[in-house]
Amino acid sequence: MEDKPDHALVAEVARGDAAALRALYLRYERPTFNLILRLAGNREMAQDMMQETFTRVWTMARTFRGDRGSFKGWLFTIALNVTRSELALKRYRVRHLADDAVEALASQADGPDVLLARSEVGRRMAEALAQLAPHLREVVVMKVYHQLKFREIADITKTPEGTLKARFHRAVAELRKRLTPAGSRQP
Amino acid sequence: MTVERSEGDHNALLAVHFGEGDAGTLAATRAHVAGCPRCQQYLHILSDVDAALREWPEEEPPPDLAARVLSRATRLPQHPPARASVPSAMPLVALLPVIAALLASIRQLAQWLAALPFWVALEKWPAVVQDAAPLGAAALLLFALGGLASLAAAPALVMESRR
Repeated sequence: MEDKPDHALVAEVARGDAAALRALYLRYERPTFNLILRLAGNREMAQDMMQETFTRVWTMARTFRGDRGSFKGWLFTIALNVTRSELALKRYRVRHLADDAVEALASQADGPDVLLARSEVGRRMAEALAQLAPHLREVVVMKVYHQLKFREIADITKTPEGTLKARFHRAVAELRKRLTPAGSRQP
Repeated sequence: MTVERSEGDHNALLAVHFGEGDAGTLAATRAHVAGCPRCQQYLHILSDVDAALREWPEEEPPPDLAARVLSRATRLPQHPPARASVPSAMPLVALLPVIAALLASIRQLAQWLAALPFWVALEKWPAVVQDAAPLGAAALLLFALGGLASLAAAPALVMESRR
């Protein structure tokens, strides 16, 4: 099962094979979880959104069209749509996310080792990303953390490449102010 | 180069930073950057922000998440397959036989109509009109028949789309 290509596994999921869904889940759990986590800035929310994302993969597997793109792109599109909906629904606006992110990073739900590992850096990045507008955050997360090409991000977000690049520049300008100490910043 | 520079310049530098784009363009941009302190500065900004963001390593999902997600997801019924969609731009070539058959039908019908006696009424009209009238009548008749056939089939099509 682990050696099968994504398309074959999705076809099996479409026939109701739970083992195929498990194989796909294990293959993409980490990138999907981190995509959602960095977009939402909150581990609790990220877990709920993982549930919704893979529930949609299961229920909608028969609608997947392999000739229109990769499974990863389809999965990320679902994850992005779920995240957008949840953030809008729960009114997690950018300026409010920072507090939630910090709170979540200190959550007692995780063991001390995990907390220690991401304490300072995770907190700073979560805050900086959370202060970006959602459409700027999306392109930064997919570009920097997932190394997707702008063409791939364009497919996932249904946004023209030129627009995505312009958003990336704006995000860089904003992140630079937040991540780089003022004294060391060049004009 | 500050972050307020033109997007075109920035996009070329973005391509260099991420190594995206064709080799020729990248080489040309790199050659330009070598002698341009402002572009070098923007590349440094990109690198600094990129490096700062990458300091946040990937996080591990909770160990029990897989079991929770999979057990809940697979309890739900699956949606039916997507209906085959009509191609948005059917190649014109595929339509040519249909168009040819339609034109042949119109011509055949026009010849049959031309043999009818009532065209005598057009005797005093120009020859062009006399020749075109049966063709026009045949075309109208065929389109009317097509429309009636569509209306007759509509209820069945609606029922099919709701299944």
